[in-house]
Amino acid sequence: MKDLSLAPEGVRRIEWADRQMPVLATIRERFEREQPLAGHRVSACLHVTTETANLMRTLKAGGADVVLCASNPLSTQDDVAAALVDEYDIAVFAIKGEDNDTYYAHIEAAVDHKPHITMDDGADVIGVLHSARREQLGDVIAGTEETTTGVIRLKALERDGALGFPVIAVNDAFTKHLFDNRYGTGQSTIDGIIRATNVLLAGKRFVVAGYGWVGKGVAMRAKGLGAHVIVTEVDPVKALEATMDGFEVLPMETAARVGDIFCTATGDKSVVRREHMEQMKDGAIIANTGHFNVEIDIPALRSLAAETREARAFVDEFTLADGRRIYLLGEGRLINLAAAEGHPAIVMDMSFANQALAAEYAVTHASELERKVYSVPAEIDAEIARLKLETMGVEIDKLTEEQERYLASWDEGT
Amino acid sequence: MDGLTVGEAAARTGWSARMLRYLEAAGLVVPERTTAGYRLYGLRELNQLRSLAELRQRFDVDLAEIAFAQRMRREPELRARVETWLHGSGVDALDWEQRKHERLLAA
Repeated sequence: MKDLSLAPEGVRRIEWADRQMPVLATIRERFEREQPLAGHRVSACLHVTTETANLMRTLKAGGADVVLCASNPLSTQDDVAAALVDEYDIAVFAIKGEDNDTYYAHIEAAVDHKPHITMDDGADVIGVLHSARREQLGDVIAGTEETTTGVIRLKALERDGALGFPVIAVNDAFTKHLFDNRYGTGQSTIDGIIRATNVLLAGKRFVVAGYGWVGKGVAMRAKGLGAHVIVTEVDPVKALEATMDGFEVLPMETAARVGDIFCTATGDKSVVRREHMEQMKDGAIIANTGHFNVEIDIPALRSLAAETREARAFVDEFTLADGRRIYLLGEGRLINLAAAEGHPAIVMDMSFANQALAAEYAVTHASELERKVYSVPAEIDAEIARLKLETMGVEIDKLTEEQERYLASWDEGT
Repeated sequence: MDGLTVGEAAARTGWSARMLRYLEAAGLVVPERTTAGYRLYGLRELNQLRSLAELRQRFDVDLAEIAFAQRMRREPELRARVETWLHGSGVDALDWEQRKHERLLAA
């Protein structure tokens, strides 16, 4: 941790984030009363941000003995690290900009804590436990993993029979996808495109590649701003869904000729490639909101261009041999982070509520869990949705006894 | 020592009276005032003036830089932003994230 004098600023920002994380705050109050994590050591390896700080406070309130290290040495907020140590009495091993050796030494330090529960954003702590610290595998009740790539890796371990303890994939939770991917990324992607370009979306042909959780969010918001939204897909079910949701569905080859703005949201590579760029109109704008900058074939765009220059911040202009110009936003990186501010805290509220309840679930169901990768149990999703509605003051109906009997009779197969 | 007037302090330290008023306005060297409102430079201010002159000479630091250093101490948010900028923007964190996940997928 870098500098304790930063703590007051960190506390101020953590408290601000906390006001926008009402679900986690509700869970924290209950944890304080019920102490579900009492006697358990937790080693968390997550982005050291204000939102994560509120998750750490929640775990501690639940009785856990928590330490935190960074899952990315460049995303650490030093004031948050200072505040966690100084104000909330939680050990933190993270310094913004730390070199690789320090970064890994800090993960080791978190493992030295001898965790019963691990929390990862990219399988770092789990990775160390499965290599250099195998003797500690038996101490771990369960872990949680926040990212899709981490889950892919852990499922491979599970297939090989090499997974040392149960892992809950918090990324799979419905309440996480709904807020993080659809509403969070959906909004911040549009925000990033507008901040980078200041274009008016109304009347534009806005091409969304991929109609998954993120693509749906982007399409919905672009439509709301008056754009004519075109969806491209490879999955017939999703393509059908997009069509029935009122969007035009086209192959990229055709969409390339008519689109004004393109946004990739597929998670796959080379979705917008040379043959598409060759067809694009003068002034076409391309952005990516998938995790990695592989969805747009940028080398192809470079080789097509006769001339390249920065048109404005986050906007690169590529002039093709025939004079047409194509604009690439944020160098093809995740546009909501490159040109906007990523997720508001209220989005992380849902993700981290899943983390907190998954930790509780692991402790209360320790004896039933096997060495497998689990999705977040439906009961946690339902509980988080219920808490969220409560914080919003939204009430819903309850089944009457008669209705319950009726449904049960259907289940029994009449 | 009871403190020197602005003219006396100027004579003693080699700063001009005009510069002393500027340093006060910039919040760098702020003298006490008499009840009548005259500036009073005490031992502390005279030492500050001497060491400030030395900082300018030896390290080629200009007054705006000193004023900025002082803002960095007083404004945590400014300091955090400047340090973030010095350490690289969020875009570097994104690139780092991508490499980490590529390594994971390759493992």
